[in-house]
Amino acid sequence: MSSNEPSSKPDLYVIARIIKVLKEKNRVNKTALATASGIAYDRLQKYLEWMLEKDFVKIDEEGYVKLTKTGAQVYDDLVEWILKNVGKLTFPRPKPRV
Amino acid sequence: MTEENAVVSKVGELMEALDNIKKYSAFAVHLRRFATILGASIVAYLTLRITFIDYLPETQPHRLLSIGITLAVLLIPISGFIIGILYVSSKVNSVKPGLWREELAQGFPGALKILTDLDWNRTMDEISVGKLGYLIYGVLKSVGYWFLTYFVLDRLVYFLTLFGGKQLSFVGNFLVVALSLIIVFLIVGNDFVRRYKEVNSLDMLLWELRGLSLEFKRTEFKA
Repeated sequence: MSSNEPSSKPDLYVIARIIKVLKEKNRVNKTALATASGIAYDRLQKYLEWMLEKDFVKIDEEGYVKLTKTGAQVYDDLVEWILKNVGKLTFPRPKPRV
Repeated sequence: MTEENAVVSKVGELMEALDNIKKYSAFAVHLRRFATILGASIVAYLTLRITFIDYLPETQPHRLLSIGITLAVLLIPISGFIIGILYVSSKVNSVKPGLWREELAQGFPGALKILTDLDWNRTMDEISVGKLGYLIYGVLKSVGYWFLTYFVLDRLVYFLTLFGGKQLSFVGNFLVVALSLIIVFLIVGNDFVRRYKEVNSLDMLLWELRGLSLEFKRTEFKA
């Protein structure tokens, strides 16, 4: 998601960082969320708009951001998918000798 | 271990495997120079030998001179071989591993970023090229060993003839060649077996990564 195109495909990495912080802190204001996730505030705003549309997060009356069950589930599903596909591999690591 | 930590650990394993792949690729990249160093030292030795040593008179005062010069000239292919191996070793060891650790330290999001940013096609090409380069390097090194062994045995026989031994016939020369091959086989036989096993491991890794990359391409990460 570029800052000029809010409706384009978002960066999964950024979403994962936001969700990770929300999972750890439960309820956090936008400024603290931007700092903790290492994202610029205006970029965070655009991601939060997208995540609100998808019902991944909600913002309460005091402006604090919370993770919804859908948001938590999506994150857990992603972790599970990666673990399922990457976890079964053995990755042999031969070391070359000269 | 939580699932997130398990993912991070597994991606760490993957990246360590890919770091090793970069070292294998280094063999392929620097193979030509290794062959050039080795080839040049062998050609230099043969040129000097044919041009000067073989025409030295075999009278007493010149016998010792001949031995001395021969030994000095033998140092050319020996040092060329050593320099070539040291050159490749320095290039392989200069590959810096672990540049991804900082990103992985971010936890699951870092692992996700590493996986989504991986250029799968390029990685698989690196493995294929690395395999081939590593094998060819092994062959060239064995050829280098053989040349050196043959040169040394050949000169030992020559020294014997200087002190009254018989000149070797064609069969005798053939036996020197065969003996040098046997000696090299004894030196590098295990080396070939080891390289073959390593290449098999690389093949396994290639298959696993091919499967994983297809899964990534097939799955659309849309919420």
